[in-house]
Amino acid sequence: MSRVTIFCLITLLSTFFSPGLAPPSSAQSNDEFIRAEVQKLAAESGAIRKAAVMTLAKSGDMRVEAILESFKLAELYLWNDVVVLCKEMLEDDDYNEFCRLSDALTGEPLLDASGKQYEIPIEELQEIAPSRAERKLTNSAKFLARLSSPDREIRMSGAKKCGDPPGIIESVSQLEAMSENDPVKKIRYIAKESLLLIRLNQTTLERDSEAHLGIVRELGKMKSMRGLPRLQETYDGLAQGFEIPVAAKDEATKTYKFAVDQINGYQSFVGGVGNVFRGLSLGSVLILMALGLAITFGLMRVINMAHGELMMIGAYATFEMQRLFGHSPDNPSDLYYVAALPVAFLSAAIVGYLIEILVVRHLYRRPLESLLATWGIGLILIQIVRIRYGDNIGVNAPTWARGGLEVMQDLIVPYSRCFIIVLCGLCVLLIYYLMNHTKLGLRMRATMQNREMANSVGVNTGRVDRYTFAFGSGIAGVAGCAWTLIGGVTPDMGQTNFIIDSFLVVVTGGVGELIGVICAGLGIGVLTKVIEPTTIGPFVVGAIWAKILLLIIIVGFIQFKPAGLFAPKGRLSDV
Amino acid sequence: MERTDNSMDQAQRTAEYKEYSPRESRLSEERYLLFLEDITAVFDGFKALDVEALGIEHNELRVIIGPNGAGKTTLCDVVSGKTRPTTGYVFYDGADITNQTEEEIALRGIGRKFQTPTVFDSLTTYENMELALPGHYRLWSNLFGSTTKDQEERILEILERVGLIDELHREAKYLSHGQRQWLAISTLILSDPKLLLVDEPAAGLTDAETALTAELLLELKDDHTLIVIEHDMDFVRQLDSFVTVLNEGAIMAEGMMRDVQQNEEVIEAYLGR
Amino acid sequence: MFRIGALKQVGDFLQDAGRSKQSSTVNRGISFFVPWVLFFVGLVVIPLLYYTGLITIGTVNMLGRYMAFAIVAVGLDLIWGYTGILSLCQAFFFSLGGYAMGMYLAHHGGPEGIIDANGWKIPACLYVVYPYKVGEAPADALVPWFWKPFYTLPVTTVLGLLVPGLAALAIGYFGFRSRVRGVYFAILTQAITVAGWLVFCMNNMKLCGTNGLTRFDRIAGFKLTNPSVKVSLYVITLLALVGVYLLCKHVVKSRVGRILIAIRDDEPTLRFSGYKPYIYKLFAFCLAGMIAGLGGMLYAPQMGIFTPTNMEASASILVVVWVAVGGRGALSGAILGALAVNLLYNFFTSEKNLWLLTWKAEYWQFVLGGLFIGVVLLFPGGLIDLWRRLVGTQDNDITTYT
Repeated sequence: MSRVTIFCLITLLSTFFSPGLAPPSSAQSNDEFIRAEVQKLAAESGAIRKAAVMTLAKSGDMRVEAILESFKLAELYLWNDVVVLCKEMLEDDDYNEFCRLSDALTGEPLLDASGKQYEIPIEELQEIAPSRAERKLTNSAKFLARLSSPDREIRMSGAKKCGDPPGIIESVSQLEAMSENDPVKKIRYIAKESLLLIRLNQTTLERDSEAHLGIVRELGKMKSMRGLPRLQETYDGLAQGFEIPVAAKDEATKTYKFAVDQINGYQSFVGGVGNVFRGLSLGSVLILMALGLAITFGLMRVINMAHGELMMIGAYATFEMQRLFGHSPDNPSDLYYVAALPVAFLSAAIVGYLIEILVVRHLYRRPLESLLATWGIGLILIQIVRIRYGDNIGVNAPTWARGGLEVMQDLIVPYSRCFIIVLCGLCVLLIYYLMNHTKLGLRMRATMQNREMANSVGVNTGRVDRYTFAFGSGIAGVAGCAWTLIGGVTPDMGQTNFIIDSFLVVVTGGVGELIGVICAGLGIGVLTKVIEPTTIGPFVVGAIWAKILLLIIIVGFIQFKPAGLFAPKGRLSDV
Repeated sequence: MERTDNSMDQAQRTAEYKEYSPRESRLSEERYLLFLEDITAVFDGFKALDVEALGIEHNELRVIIGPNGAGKTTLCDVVSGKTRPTTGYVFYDGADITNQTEEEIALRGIGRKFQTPTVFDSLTTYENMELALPGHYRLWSNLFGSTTKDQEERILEILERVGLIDELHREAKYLSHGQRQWLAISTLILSDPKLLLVDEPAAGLTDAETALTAELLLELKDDHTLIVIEHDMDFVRQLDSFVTVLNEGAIMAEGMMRDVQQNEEVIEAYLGR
Repeated sequence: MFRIGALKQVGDFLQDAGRSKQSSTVNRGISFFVPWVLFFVGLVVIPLLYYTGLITIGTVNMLGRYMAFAIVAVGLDLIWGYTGILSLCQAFFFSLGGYAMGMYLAHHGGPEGIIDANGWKIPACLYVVYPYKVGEAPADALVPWFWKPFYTLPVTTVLGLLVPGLAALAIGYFGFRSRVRGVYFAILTQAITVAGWLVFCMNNMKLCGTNGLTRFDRIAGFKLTNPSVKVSLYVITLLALVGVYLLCKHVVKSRVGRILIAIRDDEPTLRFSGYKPYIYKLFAFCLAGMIAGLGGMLYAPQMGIFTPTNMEASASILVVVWVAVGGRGALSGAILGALAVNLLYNFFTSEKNLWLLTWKAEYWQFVLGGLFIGVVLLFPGGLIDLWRRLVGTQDNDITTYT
C-alpha cells in the first residue's frame, strides 16, 4: 500500500511542475489584425464573413472564442461602421430600446466623452445576423479557436471536440501539428485520436479500404475509447454480414475485430484497476473503523456496536466545521477540512470516553452484554442527531479533493480516494508507533495480555482502557471525516453501512495483530468493489449480491481459520 | 495384563519402545493401551513437547512429574485431542487417534480431569454427575431418557464417598475449590473411562483429602489405566508407581519413584542449576 | 433415600429440600406461575373483556401480535438464555415464516382477475412489482415457481416451519462446525440477517420488494377483517405460545437442557466428557429457528401485511432485548419480556402531553436505547430476577446467568 501512495505522490508532484503552460508560438497576433477580421464579420458577402470566421479561429487569440460566441448569438452590431458588442438592452418608460455598447474585442464598456457607457437607441445600430450555415461554422470555429489557447484544459477540450462526430475537417492541419508538437502528452494523444477519427469518417471501406483499415489499426493500437463506439458499430455490421461491398471483407472484419478487442481489453483492464482502487479506498475506511474495534475487543473483550455512530459523529463534526468556515461549492474555504480532521477525532474521542466511563467500564469481558448496551447507545446517538439535523445533510468536499489524476490513459484516480488511502496509512503508522514504541502502548499490550498481572505491576488498567477506548473512537471519527469525501452522510450511516462490515473485517483478520485487520480490510474492500460490477451471463452482480457473495466467502474462510487470519497463538490461546 | 518388571530402568524401556516400529505393528500391539511416537508440539517456535516414545500399559498407573513448564499438561492435551501435535502419532487401543476430535477421543474411553477443576457452574452437583453418566451421548436419549435407579445410586455412592452428598443440589459455582476438585474427580470416576488423565488431583486439598484421593486412584487401578500428573511428591510417594520425569518437553528419566529420586539429572532439573 | 442429615445450616436444609427433585412440585417460584397466570389472563380474561365491550377488537388483535413475538422470544431464550449462543438471526427466521404465510395469504387475497398464462392468479402485491400496467397480463408475467407451494394452508404451515428450520440448520452447521463462538457467531448471524433483508428488499427477487406482501383477504376461507376471525387467530396464537412453552420446558427439563447449560458454562470441557456440543447447539438453534418461523406465521395474518422491515438488523436485536428485559435463562421471562417491551412500545409511540414537554413518537428510540443499557447494567436478571429479589423466593426453574 505504501508503494501506491508514493506513486500517487510522485505523479501528483510531476503534474504540478510539468511545463504545460507555455502558449503555442503562433498565437502571438496583434489587436489590429483581429479588429480588421472582426470588421469583416459585418461584410455583405457571406464568403468574406466565413473566411473571417476561419481566420479568427486560427488566429490563436484567446478572446476570439467570446467574439465568435457573440457573433453566433447575434450580439454584434454595426455602429458608425464599427463592429460593437451589445449584451444588454435597456428600456425606458416609453418602451424605447437602448443598447449598452462594449468593445467587440476586449468586451470592455465603450465610454463617451463624459466617461459614461454609450447607450444607443437600437434603431441606430445595424444588426449583424449570421446565416444558419455561418452559425454552424462558427460553432466549429469556436472549438478550432480553442486549439490555440495557451490554457491546457481549453486546448484539450478543443482537441476533443474537433474529433467528435461529424468532425471539423478544417482542424486537420492544426491537429496534425498539435499531435506532434504540443508540450502536453495527453493533448498530443487526444489530437492524434481526433485526427484519426476525422480521417476515419472521411475514408470508407468501399473506396479506400487500405487507408481506412490503417486508421482502424492505429485507433486500436492507441486503445482509443472514443473510437470504440464507431468501430464497434461497423464491426457489428460486418460480423452480421450486412451487404457491404468490400473487396477483402475477411481482412476488414479481422482488422476491425482486432482493434475492437484491443480497445475492449484495455478498457476492462483499466476498469479492473479502477475497481481495485475504489476497493482500496473503501477498504481504508473499513480499516480505520475496524482498528478501533479490534483494539477495544482485544483489550477489554468489549464489542462496541456504537462504533458506527462514532464514525457518524466524525462525519457530522466535519459538517459543522464546514458550516463554521462557510464552505460551499461557490465559496470554497478549503481550510475547513484541515480543521475538521482533528475536530472529528476529538469529538468522537470525547463521546467514546463518555461511553467508556458511563457504560462500557462495567462490561469488561462480557462481549455479548456489551454488544446490547452499546447498540442501545447507538440508538440514542442516532436519534439525537436525527432530531438535531434531520435525515440528510451534504458535506462538500474541499476543492483539492475534487477531480482526479490520470495515472494511465483513461484511468483516473480521484484525489479524494488517494487522500483516504494516505490518511489510513498514516493512522496505521501512528497506531503501530503508539502500540510498539510508547509507554501507553506497552501498558496497552500488557493489559491486553494479562489484565490482573498488569494491574499488579502498577499499570492503571482503568485509565489505559479509557484512553484506548477514546483513541479507537477517535479513529472512527477520522473514518467518518474521510467518508464525507466519497459518500453520503445520514444519522444511521454507521448502523446500516459500516458496523457489520467492519466487524466482519475484525472477524476475518483476527484480533491478535494489526496486520490482520489491514489485510482483511483491504481484502474485503477490494473484493466488494471487484465483485460488484462483474457480470454473470446477462446479469450484473450488483452491490447486494456482492455483499452476500462476500459473506459466503467469509463464512467459508472461517471454516478453515476460525480465529481469523492472524490468530493469537500460544498454549494459552483458546479458539 | 500383569506388569512384569516394575524396576526396569529407563534405557531398557526406551529400547523396548523402539523395537515397535514400524508404526503399523503398533495398531495391533496389545501390550500398550496408549503409545506416543515421536510426538512434538511446537508453539510459535517454542518446543513444548518432544517425546520420542512413551508407552502406557493396560491397567498401569503412571505418574508423570516434572518441573514447571516441562510439558506435562501439553502431553495430556495431545492425548485428549485439545492440542494437535506438530509431528508424531498417538496410538490408543489399536487405533491412531492423532487427529481425532476431543469428543471422538472421549468416546473411545479417555477421560480427563483438568489442572483447574472444570465443572459446570450453573448445574448442581447432582446434575454435573448426571452429565458424566456413560452411554448418554445421543441427542434422542438425552431428550427423552431419564436417569435409572441404578445410575442414581451409583452417583450417590460416589458423592457419599467424597463427602459431597450434602451439596447435592447446590450449584457448582457455590462450591469451594476443594469441593470442585472432588466433583471433577467424581465425574471422571463416574464416567468410567478406560484411560484416565488426571492433572494435579491433589492441588488445593488437605493432607487427609490427598490421602483419600490416592486411595481412590489406587482402587481405580484395578480395572482402569491411569496417567496422573502431579507436583506433590508426598502424593506421588503414596501412589508408589512407575514414574516418568519430563523436563523441557522431553522424557528425562523413567523408573520407580525411589529410583528416580536418586537420579542426579532429575535432582538438578528440580533444584535448578 | 437421600442422606439429608449433617446439613450445615437449617437454611441450607430448607433450601435444599425445596430444590430437591422430589419436592420441586411443592415450592414453585414466580417463573412457574407467571406463564400460567398470563395464559389464564390471555385465554379467559381478555376474551371476556372483549365480549363485554371493555376492550376493542383492535386491542385483542394487538395482543395477538405480541403473543406471536413472545413465541419468538421463547425460542431465543432457548438458544441464548440456556445455551449461551447469541443468535441475531431470529428476526430472519421469523420473517421466513411470515413470508411463507404471507405468500399463502397473498395467493388468496387482493382484487380478482389477473391470471397468468398458466392459469395462476397473480397476487396483487406481486403484480405491482411487475413492470406492467393493470389489465395487461403479458405471457412472461408468471407466478414464480417458489410461490406455488404456498397455495394451500397445510403445505404452507409445514414449509413455514421447515424453511426457517433448514436455514437454521445450514447456518448452524457452518457456524458450529468451525467452532465459531460468542460474539463471532452473533456478528455472523447479524450479517446473515442483513444479507437476507437486502435480498428480500430486491424487486427482481419477486418477493414484492420493500412494499412487502399486502392485500391479504382470507385465511382458510374466512375473512380476516371479521372480528371473530381475529379473536380466533388470537386464541390460536395463545395456544401456540402455550404449546411452544411446554415444548421448550420439556427440553430444558430433560438432560438436553442440562447439556445446553453445560455448553453455556464450559463447552470445551463438555467435549472431553464425550458429548458432541455442536449436535446439541444445532438442535437448539434449529428448534429456535422453527419456533421463530411459527411466530412469523401467526404474526402475518394478524398484522395484515408483511414487509422486509421485520428482518432489519434492529428487529433482530429487538428480540434479544425482549428476552433480556424479561430475564434470560427463564422461559417465562422471555414471554413476560416480549409482552412488556411491546406494551411499552405501544404506550410510548403515541403522542402525549407531559408536564413540560410534548412526548413524540420518535422519542421511543431513547426509551429503547435506555432499555438496552439499563437491562444490561442495572438488572441483568431481568424482570423475573427483579421480582425474585424483591419477594425473596427461591426458584428452581431459573438458571441464573452470571
